[in-house]
Amino acid sequence: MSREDGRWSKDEEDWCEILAGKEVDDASEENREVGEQLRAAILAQHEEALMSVSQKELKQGRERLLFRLHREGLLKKEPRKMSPYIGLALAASFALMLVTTPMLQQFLPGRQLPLSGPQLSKQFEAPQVLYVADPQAAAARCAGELQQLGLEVEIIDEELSVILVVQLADRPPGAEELLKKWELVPTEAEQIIVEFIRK
Amino acid sequence: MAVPKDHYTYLSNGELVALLASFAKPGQRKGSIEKLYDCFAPQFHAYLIRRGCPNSDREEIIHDSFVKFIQHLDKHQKKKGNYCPQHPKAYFHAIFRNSYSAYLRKQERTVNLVGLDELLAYAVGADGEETFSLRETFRKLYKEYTLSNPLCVFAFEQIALEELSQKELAVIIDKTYGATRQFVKTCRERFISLWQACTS
Repeated sequence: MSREDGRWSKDEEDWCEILAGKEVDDASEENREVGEQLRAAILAQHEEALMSVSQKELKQGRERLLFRLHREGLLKKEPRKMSPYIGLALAASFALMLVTTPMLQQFLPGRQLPLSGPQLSKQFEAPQVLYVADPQAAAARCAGELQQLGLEVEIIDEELSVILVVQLADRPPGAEELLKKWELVPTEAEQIIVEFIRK
Repeated sequence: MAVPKDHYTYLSNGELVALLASFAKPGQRKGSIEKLYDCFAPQFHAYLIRRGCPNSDREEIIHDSFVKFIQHLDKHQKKKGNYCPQHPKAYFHAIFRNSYSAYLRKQERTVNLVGLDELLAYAVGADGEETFSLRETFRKLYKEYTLSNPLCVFAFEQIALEELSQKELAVIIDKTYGATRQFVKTCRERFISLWQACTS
């Protein structure tokens, strides 16, 4: 036992040296007498206890410890080297993912295409709905009045309803009053899209 | 009397550091753990036998200590890149002592301490005749002191059985360096005064 600085008094140092079985020439009598006997008692008890531990018990204990370490994942902690093929496989998987993800998204409902560029179809705008007793007659009368103002009116007859599509790029005089009369609301694109449906 | 090292593989500090370093070598971890077990398990068993720990509980306490020590080594390897913490032997003994303390806390201890009067009666003989046996009296005193001051005896045993430095002793008994010095001083004085009471 090495003394590492001078803070320990000689008595404590000698006590430790004697307990550790080292020769201390100038130790005090009580330190020597008690220290040596204490060491002898410790070693005797230790040996007695060691003798009572059977090799079989130790061997079985070792096997059970290894099993427990294996179960707790502590038996094999060696760093694993990555195979070069694993890196190649990961790169190929990533490339495949980049290609297939946009393709798969086309089939997902309610998702817009993530790619930039012109859209292939116009956004659908829900038409304004007017409930009338006779859709065909009401649509014809409304279309006639719009056409009298010089507006182009597209009439789409769907049998159960009639849709009018009117471009309002240049609103002629009298157009505002007509829109109020029929309670028509132009869209942001300056259009009238109205569907006449039977009450 | 020499330390009975022929009952187990004794490892010096340097040998233990070399053994722990082999944890990092591919394919050697299991063998290193087995060797670690062969070196420390007999000592731990002996310690628990001396304290009267039942056979059924000894193995669990020892295994808990090994698991915690190996977990600590792995953490150290992750942080520092090697399996050699500072004062590994002292640290392992400290873990073992903590495992034993945790076990004791769970138990209902029913230890009968040997009284000083009983010791004195044994030393001088009940009928006053010369039946005094220095060695036997000392062993009884040591046993009594083991029960009444387990940490003191633990420290004495570590000094006697292991080649530990003062700093390592501080690690084992979980005290600062200065407190360890004071602790050894107090234990020594107490033990000597007990002995002097028996022999005077």
